[in-house]
Amino acid sequence: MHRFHRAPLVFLAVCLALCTAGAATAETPLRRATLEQLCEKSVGPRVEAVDRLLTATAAGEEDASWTFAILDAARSKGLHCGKDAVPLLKLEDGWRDAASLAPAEPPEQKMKPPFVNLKVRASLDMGAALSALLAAPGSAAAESGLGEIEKRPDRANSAVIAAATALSENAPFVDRLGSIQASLDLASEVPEDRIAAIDRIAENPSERNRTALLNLQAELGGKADPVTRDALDNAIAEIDGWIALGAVASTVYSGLSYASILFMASLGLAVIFGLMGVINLAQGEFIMIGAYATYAVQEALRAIAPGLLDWYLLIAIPIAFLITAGVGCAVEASVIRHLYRRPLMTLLATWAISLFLINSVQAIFGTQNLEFATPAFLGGGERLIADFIVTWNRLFAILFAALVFVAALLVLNRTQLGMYIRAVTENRDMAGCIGVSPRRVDLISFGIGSGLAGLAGLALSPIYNVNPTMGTNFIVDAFMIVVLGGVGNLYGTLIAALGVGMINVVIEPLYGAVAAKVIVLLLIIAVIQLRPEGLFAVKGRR
Amino acid sequence: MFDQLFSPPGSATRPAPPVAPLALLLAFLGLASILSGWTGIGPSPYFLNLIGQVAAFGMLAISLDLIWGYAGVLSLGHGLYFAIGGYLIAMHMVKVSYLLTSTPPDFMLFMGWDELPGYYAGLEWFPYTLLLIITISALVAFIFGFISFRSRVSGVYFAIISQALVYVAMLLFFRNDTGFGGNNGMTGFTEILGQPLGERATIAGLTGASLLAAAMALAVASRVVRSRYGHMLMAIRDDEPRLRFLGYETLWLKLGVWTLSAVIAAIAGMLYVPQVGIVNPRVLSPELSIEIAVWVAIGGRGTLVGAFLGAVLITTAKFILTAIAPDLWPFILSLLVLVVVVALPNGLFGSGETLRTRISQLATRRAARQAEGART
Amino acid sequence: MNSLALSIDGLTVSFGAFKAIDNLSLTLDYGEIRAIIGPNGAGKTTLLDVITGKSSPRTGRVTLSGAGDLLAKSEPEIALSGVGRKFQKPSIFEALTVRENLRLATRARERSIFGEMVRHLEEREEEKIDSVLDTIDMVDADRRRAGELSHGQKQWLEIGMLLIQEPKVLLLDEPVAGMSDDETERTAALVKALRGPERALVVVEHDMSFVEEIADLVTVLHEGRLLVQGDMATVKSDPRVIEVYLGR
Repeated sequence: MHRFHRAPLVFLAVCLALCTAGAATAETPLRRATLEQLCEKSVGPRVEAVDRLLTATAAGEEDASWTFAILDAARSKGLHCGKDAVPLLKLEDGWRDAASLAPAEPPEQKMKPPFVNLKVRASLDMGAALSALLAAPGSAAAESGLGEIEKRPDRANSAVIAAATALSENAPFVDRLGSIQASLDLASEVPEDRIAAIDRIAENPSERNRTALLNLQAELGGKADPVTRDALDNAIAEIDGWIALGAVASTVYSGLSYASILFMASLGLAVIFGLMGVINLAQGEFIMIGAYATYAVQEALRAIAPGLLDWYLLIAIPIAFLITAGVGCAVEASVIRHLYRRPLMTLLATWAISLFLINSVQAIFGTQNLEFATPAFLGGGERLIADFIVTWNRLFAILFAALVFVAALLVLNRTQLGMYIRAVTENRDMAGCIGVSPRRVDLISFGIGSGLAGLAGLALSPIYNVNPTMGTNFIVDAFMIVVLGGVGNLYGTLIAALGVGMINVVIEPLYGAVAAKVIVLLLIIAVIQLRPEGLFAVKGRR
Repeated sequence: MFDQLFSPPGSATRPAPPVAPLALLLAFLGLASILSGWTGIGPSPYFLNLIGQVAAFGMLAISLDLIWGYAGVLSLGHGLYFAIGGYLIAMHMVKVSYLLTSTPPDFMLFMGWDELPGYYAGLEWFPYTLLLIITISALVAFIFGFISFRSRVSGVYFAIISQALVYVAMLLFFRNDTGFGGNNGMTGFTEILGQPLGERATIAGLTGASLLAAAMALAVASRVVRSRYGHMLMAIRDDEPRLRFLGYETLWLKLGVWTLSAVIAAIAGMLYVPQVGIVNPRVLSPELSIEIAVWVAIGGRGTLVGAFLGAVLITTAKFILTAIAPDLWPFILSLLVLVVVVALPNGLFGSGETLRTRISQLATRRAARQAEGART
Repeated sequence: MNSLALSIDGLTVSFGAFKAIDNLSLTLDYGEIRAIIGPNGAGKTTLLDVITGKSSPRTGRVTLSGAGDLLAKSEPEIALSGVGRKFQKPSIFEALTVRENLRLATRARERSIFGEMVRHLEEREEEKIDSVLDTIDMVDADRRRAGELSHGQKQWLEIGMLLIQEPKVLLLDEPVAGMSDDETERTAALVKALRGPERALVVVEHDMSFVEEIADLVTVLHEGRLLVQGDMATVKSDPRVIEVYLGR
C-alpha cells in the first residue's frame, strides 16, 4: 500500500525501452561508470552512482528515459550483473543490453541482480521516482513518483526537482514540487531562502513537516538570526494549530466510521427485534452470511468476468441482500412463524439456528478468514487537514450506512408495505381485520431485517475479519444499540450507534480497545438502568 | 410485546415432577461416590469425574431455574457467577501449589511478576476462599440486581444487560495484566484440601461433593419455592404490578432470590473447576450463559427437576458426542433444540403436555388439515 | 355528610406535550360509591395511575385521610396505606390456586417484607379468606389454579383479594368489561356489598346501566378536566355531557 504502484512504472519502462531502443546513443562513459558502480557489492558507490546519474540527467547530460529504465530495473531486481560481463536488464518481455536498452540474447554465464539493502533500496526508489518526473512529465508514473518523493522530501535531488519544475505544465504539480523544494531549502545557508522555505512548509501542515521544522530549530539552536527564529516559531505554532484541528477531525471521522459499522450491524435487528419483537440471536449470523455472499460474488466475478472484479462490492449489494433475506425468510417460515406467541422459544430457537448456521458455513468454507480484494476506488484517500486523511474505504462504509438508513426509512414510512409492517407491529389482530395478512407481513419484515443484516456483512467485508464466527462479535453490540436507542425507533438506533461510536473512539486512545469496549458497555448498562425503555423511546402511558 | 416470554408454563395437564426423590437419589449417589473413593471399588476415575461435572452443571441449571422459572427473571449472564466461584477456587489452588512447590504459575512468568498480586493474600486458606466465593457472588449479584430491579429493568432488557455484563467480564478477563491468567486462564493445579487432584479418591470425593451440593441446592430451592416467599416469586412472574399493588416491595423479593441464585451458581463453579483442572475466560462467554438457559428450557422451567435433568441430558450428550463425532454435535444440539421448541413448549420434563399428547395433537391437527384440503 | 377519604388538588399529568390530566381537583368521601366516566382519553385510567403511584404528576397533591400525601410514596407503600386497585384486565396470579392468591393479599402493614416472606398465616386470616371466598362465591374453587378460571371468576377473585386487603379507598377500573349480563349483575351486587362506612369506592366504567345501578355520584371527565359532577339523572341530562358523548 505504501509503495507507489508498480504496474504503471513497469509498463512505462517497457514502453520507454522500446521507443528508445533504436535511437539510444550507445554506451557513453557515464553509462558505463554508472552500470559498473551499480553492479558493485558495497553500498557507497551505488548510492553515489545514483546521485551522479540524477544530477547529470537533470542537467540534460543523460537521457531521462534511460535513467528511469535503469533505476527502476535496479530497484526491482531486473538489473543483472556478472563477472566480466556486460550488465543486462531482465524486463517482462525479455533481456536487454543495459547500456543501450537494445534487445539482447539471454546471458550464457550466470548473472544475478546485486543484493539490495535498505539504504540502496531507498536510494534507488527515490532515484526511480525522481527520474520518472523527468522521463514522462504529467504521466501517471510521474504522479505516483511524486507521491513517493513527498514521503521523504529532504532526500530528493534538488537539481532534479528544479528541472522537473521547469518541465511541468500542471499547476498543482508545480505546487507540490515547490513544497519539496522548500524542504530541501530548509538546509540552505542563505537565510532568505530558508525563511521562504519555512513559510512555504507551514502552508502544508503535517506531522512530518512539523518534525522537519523542529529538527531545524534544534539544529540551528541559538545560532539562528532572530528573523529566522521568529519565522520558525510562527510556522510551528501554525502547524500545531492545524494538526490539532486535523486530530479532532480525524477522531470524528473514525468515530463516524465505527458508528456506521455499529449502525449497520444493528439496523436489521432494529427491524426484527425493535419492530417485530423477535429476539433474534441469529442476527450476527445473517451478517456473516451477507459477508460470505459478498465473497461468493467476488469469486464468481474473478472466474467469469475479471474486468468487473473491482466493482464486486456494488454488484454484490442486491445479491447479498437477497441471499440473506432468503435465508431469513426460510428461518421465519420454518421456525419463527410457529413461535410468535412464545418469544421464549424464539430466543432458544434462534440460538439454535445461529449454532446451525455457524457450523454449516464452517463445514462448507472452513474456519479461516476470507480474503477480500480492495477495489482500486477504495484504496487510498485524500489528505484534508494536516494529518487527517479521508480514506475511501471508510467513507464508503459511512455513505453506504447513510444510504441504507434512508432507504430503510423510506420503505418503512413511505410505502404501502411499510404501512402494513407498522400496522401489524402495533396491533396484529386489528391489522388482520382490515385485510392485511399478518403472516405475510411478518415474513416480509423478517426478510427485510435479515437482508439489512446481509448488507451489514457486505459493508464490513472490506474492513473486518470475515469468518464463520464473526457474527458473535456483533450480537451483543447490536442488541445494546437497539435497546439503547429505544425499540421501534430507527432514529434512536442511529443516534445510539453514533453516540457509542464516538465515545468509543474518544476512550480508545486513552485506555486501549478492550477498556473502551468495557467502559462503553458499562455506560450503556447504566443508561438502560436510568431509562429502561431506551433513550429515545416514545414516552407514553405505561 | 414480551409478556409471553415470562408468563408461566401453559395450563398443566401433568403435574410438575416431585423434587424429593431426585434430591434423595443425588444425595445417595454422592455418598456412594465418596464411599467408592475410600474403598477404591467402583467406576473408573474418568467416569466419576464426568458425573461430577454433570452434577455441577445441573446445580447451575437449578440456580437459573430458581430465578427464571419461578420469579420470571431471565438471566443470560449466569456464567458470571459460575465464573466467580470457578476463578476464586482456581486462585486458591494456584496459591496452594505456589506455596508448596515454589513453581510460579504461567501468568506470573508471562507478566514477569515476582510474586502473586496482593488480592491472593489469604487465599491459601480454604474457608476464607469459600467465604469470598459466597460474599463476592452475593455482592456482585446484589449490586447488579439492586440497580436493575430498582429502576424496573425487566424482561428482555434485563436478559440483554445481564448478557452484556458477562460479556464485559469476559473482555476484562482476557487481559493479561489482571492477575487471573488472561487468555490462557489458570491451570496446573496440584491439590485441593490437601488431597492430590489426580488420585481416584480425590476425584470420587469431588464428585460426591458435587452430587451432595446438587441435592442440597435442589432441597433449598424446593423449600424456597414451596414457601410463602415462593408464592410471592410466582406472583411476580405472573403479574408483578398486581403484587406491588397488594403492598409488596417486589425489589426486595427479587433481590433475595436473585442473590441466592447467584450464590448457588458460584458454588457450582467452585465444584466444577477443580474437576476440569482449568478455568479460563471462556466460562464468561455469552454462549455458555445462553446454554444454561437452553438446559433449563429443554428440561422444563419452573420445575427444578426438569432444569436439572435438562442439564444432565444435554451435557452428557455433549460429552459423548464431542468424543465420537465432534463435528456433528453442534448440528445435533441445534436440531434437538428446534425439535423441543416446536413440539414441546414446556420442555421434556416440565409440567404440561407430554410428548405423547403433543404428538397426537399434532397428528390430529394434520389430519384435520388434510381432511379440509380434501374437501376443497 | 360523611368525612373526607381522599382529596385530589390541582393535579396535572402530562406525557410530553400532551396533558392527560389538566388541573383536576376532586374529593371522595367515606361510604360513597363514585363512578368516573368519560370518553376514551378523558384521563380516567391516568387518574387511577396517579393515585396508586404508577404515574407521577407534574403538579398537584393527592391526600389520603390519615396517610398524608400519597405522591411521595411508592406503589407498595400506597397500597399499604389503604388504597386498593383493580386493574382493567383481570390481574391475578395464574399459576397459584385461588386460595394461594387470596393468601398473598394478607400483606399487613406492620410486618416487614422479610417477616412476610417466612411467616405462616394466622387462624383468623384463614377464616377471613373463607368468608371472602363465600362473598365472591368461589368456595368450591379454592384449590383450583387461577389460570383455569373463567373471565368473570378472575375478576371476582381480584376483587376478593382487594376485600382481604381492606382498603380505605378502592379503585375499580372497568370491572364489568367483557362480562356477560348475568356476570355483570352479580358484579354489581358484589360492588354494592363492598360499600362500607370505612371505605370509599371509585368505579371507572363505560357500561352506563351498571354505573346507574351502583353509583351515588357520577364524575364526568373530559380531556383531563372535570366536566360535570352530580347524580346519574343530572349528569345524563346535562347538555355538555351529551355533546361530549355524541359529538358536536
